[in-house]
Amino acid sequence: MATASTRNASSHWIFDILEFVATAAEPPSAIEIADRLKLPITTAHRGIHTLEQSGYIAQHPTSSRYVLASNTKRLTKALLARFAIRGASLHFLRYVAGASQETTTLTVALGWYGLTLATVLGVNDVVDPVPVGSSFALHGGASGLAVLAFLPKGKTERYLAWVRKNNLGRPRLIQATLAEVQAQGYALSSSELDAAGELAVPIRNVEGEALASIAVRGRSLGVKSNRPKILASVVAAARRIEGVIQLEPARFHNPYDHLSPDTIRLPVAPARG
Amino acid sequence: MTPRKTTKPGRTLPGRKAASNGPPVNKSSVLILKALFSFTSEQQSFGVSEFAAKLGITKNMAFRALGTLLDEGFVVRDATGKRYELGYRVLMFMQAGHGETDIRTLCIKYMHMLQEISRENVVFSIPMGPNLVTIDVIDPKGRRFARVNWVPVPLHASPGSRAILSFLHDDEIEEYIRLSVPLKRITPTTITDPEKLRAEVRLVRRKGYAIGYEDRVVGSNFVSFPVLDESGRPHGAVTIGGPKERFTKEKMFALIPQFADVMTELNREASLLDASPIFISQQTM
Repeated sequence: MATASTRNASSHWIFDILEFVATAAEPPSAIEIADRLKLPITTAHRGIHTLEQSGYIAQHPTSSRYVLASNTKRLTKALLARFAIRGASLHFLRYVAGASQETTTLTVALGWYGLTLATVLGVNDVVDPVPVGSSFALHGGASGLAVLAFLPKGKTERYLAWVRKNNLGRPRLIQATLAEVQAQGYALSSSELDAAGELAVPIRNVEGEALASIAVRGRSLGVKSNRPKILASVVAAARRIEGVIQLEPARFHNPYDHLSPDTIRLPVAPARG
Repeated sequence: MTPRKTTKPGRTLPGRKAASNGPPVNKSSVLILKALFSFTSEQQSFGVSEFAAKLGITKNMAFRALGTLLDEGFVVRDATGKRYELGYRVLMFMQAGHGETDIRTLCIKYMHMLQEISRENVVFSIPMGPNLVTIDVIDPKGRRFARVNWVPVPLHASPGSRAILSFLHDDEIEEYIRLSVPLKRITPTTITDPEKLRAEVRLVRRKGYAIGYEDRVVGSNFVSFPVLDESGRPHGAVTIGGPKERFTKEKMFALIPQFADVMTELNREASLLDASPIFISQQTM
């Protein structure tokens, strides 16, 4: 953490404006920005102009509202590029999406959250697609469980303590689910007929620890006879990616693994599957 | 053959626009925002001194800028604690529907446009190891296929394959030839001579598309266009074609300018996404 003497306090409200534009459900106007952040309108205009001139926000082409501009896309692209596993996995994800006809995702752990690094839509109707960049508590879906089940034991215990402390679920139930995932080698959620199920397989390093997971999500998983073929394609993709990782293991380290998971806070999407 | 250029074109840095009418900007914040944008360069981590040199500011100013970005969560310290890297707070730019589109999804709209022009099959294929696999098909009636019967096709053996192969680096093409000779023959017209393949690569690079006369499927003609990222690396290829009695050579060449216009638009959008790395020596699933 920077000390008061090393940071630039006047930038704080600029970043507040940027965050509001980034997270608002609809593009906000200058007045809405000023109201929401309790800023004088002249201050809001100055902040907006600073962000516009710097290429972070732009005025909507047909209104006086503000949207994110190209520099934010460059930054998200740079962030995703930090996860080398994403680049190595994209072809395989597309292949699985072609084989299963369902939406296929790549998930890594970021702190105690599952972070969706890539989503490839299938041909079948898309049910509740998972946007790239979305996050959820690791036990909140099959893709997170497939990672969580293959973390080192001590780390799983710390995760359960975090769940208990923040009242996010029932640790014993999660523990039982993890044992099941470990035994079968994959995670499956909502396998009821016609429900949008999710089937996830971990991508593991040579020590057996999960680095990520590939998940297929869609209604066809509700038909039991479809599952073996889908599972086979996901497992094949995971093994291929593991083969690529083994060539250069250092390149595929999670870039945020050195941070304490307890210090990472991400917005959480509703529970999935 | 000349190695393809892989460097990315210059980018406009924030804060470089000419001053326009409006309220004054907050100069210290402009510097902080410019500092944040520095983390989009090829270099992923910075020490304070090299960061100061990159931005042309004093070490003290660089330290304050990094301190502010650290405090805001836009940068983090690396494992050594001495260098600074892009932080995960950038994820906020992907909320509220600002997320990215995958290349497969991006291609669909343009594939439908190509089908309407040609009234033929339109397919999207991607490289996987030394092969090409088709992952999306739109049939002559405009229906997106529910089942794609993908068969790995060697990177020399179809126009889609060669549209991809031609936009790899020369070293990768030579590696492919070295690992694949004798080049597999699929039909009587498949290119199996390495020298003819090299000549075909030069032709495809010059024209921007690859043609196939029954070299993959007997009785059918195809034309394939590469889908490229900003640095000219291939995401995959879009192929249009059908039976030679219907999709004659004359019809194909008459329609190529219209196909090329659609592909220019597709490639404009595709350039915003990075193509996945290709591992020539790796087996296809």
